[in-house]
Amino acid sequence: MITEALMAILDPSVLFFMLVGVVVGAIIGALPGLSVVMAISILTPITFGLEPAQGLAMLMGVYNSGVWAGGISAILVNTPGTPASIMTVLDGYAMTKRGEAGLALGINVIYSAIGGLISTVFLMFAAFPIARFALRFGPAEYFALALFGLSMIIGISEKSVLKGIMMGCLGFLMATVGLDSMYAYPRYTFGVVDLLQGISYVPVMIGLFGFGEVLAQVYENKKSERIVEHRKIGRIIPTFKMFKDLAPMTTLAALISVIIGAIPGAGGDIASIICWDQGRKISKDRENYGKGSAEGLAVTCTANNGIIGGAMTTMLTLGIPGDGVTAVLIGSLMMYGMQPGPMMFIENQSFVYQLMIMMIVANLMFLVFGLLTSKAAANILNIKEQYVWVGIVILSIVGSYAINNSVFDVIIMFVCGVLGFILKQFDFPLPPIILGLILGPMAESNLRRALALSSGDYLIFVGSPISIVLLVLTALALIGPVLMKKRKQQTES
Amino acid sequence: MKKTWKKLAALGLGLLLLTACGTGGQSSAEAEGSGGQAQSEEAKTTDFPKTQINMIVQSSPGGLSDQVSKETGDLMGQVLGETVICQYKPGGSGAVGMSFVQASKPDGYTIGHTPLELVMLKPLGYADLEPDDLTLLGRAYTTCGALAVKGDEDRFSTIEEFVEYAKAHPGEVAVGNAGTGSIWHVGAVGFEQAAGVTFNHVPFDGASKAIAALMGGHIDAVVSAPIELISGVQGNEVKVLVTMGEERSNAFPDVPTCQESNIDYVLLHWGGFAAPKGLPEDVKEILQNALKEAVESEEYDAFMKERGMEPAFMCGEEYDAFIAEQTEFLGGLVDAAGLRSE
Repeated sequence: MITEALMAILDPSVLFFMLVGVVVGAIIGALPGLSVVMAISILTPITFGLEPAQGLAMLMGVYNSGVWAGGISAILVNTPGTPASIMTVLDGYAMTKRGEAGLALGINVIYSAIGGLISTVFLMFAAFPIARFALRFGPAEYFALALFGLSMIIGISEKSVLKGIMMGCLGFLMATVGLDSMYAYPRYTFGVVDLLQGISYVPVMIGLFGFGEVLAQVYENKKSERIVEHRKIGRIIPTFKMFKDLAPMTTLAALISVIIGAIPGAGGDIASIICWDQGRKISKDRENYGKGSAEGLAVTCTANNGIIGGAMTTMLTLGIPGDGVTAVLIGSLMMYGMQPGPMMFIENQSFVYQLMIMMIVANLMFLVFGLLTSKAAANILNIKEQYVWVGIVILSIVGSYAINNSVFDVIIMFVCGVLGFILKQFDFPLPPIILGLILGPMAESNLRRALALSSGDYLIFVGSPISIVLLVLTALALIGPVLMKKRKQQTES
Repeated sequence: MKKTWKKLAALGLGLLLLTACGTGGQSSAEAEGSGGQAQSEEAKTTDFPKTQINMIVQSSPGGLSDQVSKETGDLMGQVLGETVICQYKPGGSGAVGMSFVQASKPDGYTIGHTPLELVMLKPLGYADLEPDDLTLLGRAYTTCGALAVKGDEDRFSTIEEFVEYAKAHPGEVAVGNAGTGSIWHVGAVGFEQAAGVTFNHVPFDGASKAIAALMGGHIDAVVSAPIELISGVQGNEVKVLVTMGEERSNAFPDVPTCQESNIDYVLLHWGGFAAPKGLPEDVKEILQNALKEAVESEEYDAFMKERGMEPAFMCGEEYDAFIAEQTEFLGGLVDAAGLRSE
């Protein structure tokens, strides 16, 4: 069965279309705002002209490579190309500023591929147990997971935890705009139809990190005498010792992200947030997280590609999408006459194997492609800054417009850009805003959903081992730093 | 400020063209083949359509609305001999997309997908839009509601047992739906009334998440469309107890309808297509005929059946009466669910 599937994939035309998919995915992924979801929705009808294997190869190429490429723009110009690469900005851009752009890009592509490969292996051997485990996440467990993710606001607050929490609350506040997720009551919409659907976090993200960063750079440029320097790119492939040092944390990240990917509705953004924060808590290198740590970067890269196997697991075994991309992929598979679900494993086993092998090949393909193009990509840094700025502004506009074909999102992007610039001048950390925007609605709706289920009984939140473990971990994350500080003071005195 | 606006508009235009190229490519080739002979007679009296037609989809690309709109658009394009291109205006339960159609020029080159939210937007207070604000071309499809429980549920295995259990445990049976104000939420409220029971309604962010919660045993039942349930039923993860159509659903031929189970209740999800108000009569007729021909084709039938839906063309006075009846019925359910916005 497997050899048969392998034969079907090693057909040169299939490999060719996969390469096309990888290249398209890399471009779309690297451009902020243009998402993998969009690419797959637009490409699906085009692939009907092809053989099913060819079309699917193209889509898998786009999916796997698009997530990785989102890290490129995060590393080089501080603008996440996809929501999943939000955490890549922290360490990736810091490395670029330090003159290690090449290494950052290398780590990004290598560990994205590693994460993708590990999670595919899980999909091949443990699909049903993982899916069963993911189903145990009900509203109470989702709430605990969101809370756990939110506890990392402390971790990314840089100098002042208070400022970080303020920014997190700002994100929360922005997330409340729109129809409320439980009873569809319009909140803070002021009668504007565009606000009914809420403030989506992609334009906010592009504004804060893309447009806002350009404003900051222009402003600083004016302030100080410009020092013309040839920015270093540095080596691309990490040393053997580095691989060894990175192994434990990235393996852990891969495991966590497979599970998070399998949980319906939790995707690469949440996986990389949680994995990065775990690293910051338990790694030997934790002091450097957020300041350009190679490990911090590797962990986020592993995590955002690591969810693919998990997301595919729930989609293939249960017919339920594990993330935004698989939600669209279900439609694509149906167009090919496949109904994802438990029966597919029995009735179309060879097709399932084909899909898994395709994922492996796609990972290897973008690994090679990514390493070969890293040098060229990094050369963006040597383009005159003014051109880069104009480029980023244009991409920010196009990207924020493209999400919903809405000019309103472009306005949000501009407003957030200016806001981000001002906040940055006062040393407010920006990532907590995005965190609040992503995790706030998840926490709120599941809190209320769980209470609706239990008729108002709060015991539902400690009703399962999963939520208890997550809540204890959250509590430790909050109390831990305080205790450590106290102990430090005691030993010093 | 003015300049930025101009720039924005130019960029937007460029992007629209880009997406148009992306989605339009494959259908134009098909259209060329069969366009000529299928041209309807009316087309000879006017020269409509001269160029491509824009189909406004009220949701994001990739979902069911997108698939349906694209399929219908492709088939209509074959009849008309022009390409029909989908544009996406998601948001506000379809309010954004349908309001866009309403505000477009009534020249026949902008049409839109109008699912049953069309009659619910106003009662829910999402948009001041009524069916009268559009030129309705016709209904294209229907799909029934279905009530499903977990595959290994042992408390009830038939709809009678389920209703009995719900009567004995008022307000305790947690029924998930695709979101507050969605058809499956008000549909569950209607079922409650018809069966004389009280549920605990739990809204989720989309039908698939409600079904995942059902499979995980976090809720007791789900009201949704057959298409969302088919794969779960095939794998014995979920079990459909009752369907809510007038006849049995072709997706679950062994499952009784409400009426067979002595519950006087019919819940249909349906969708049609519409153009802006003030569409010239001859253009309306051409579009209507193209829609009819598309919906009644064999390809459409197969497409719909695969998704547990039924092609169900309806137009003119019959459709107007249907819309009026649904406006009253669904408006009443919105009231009953306590969602009426003043």
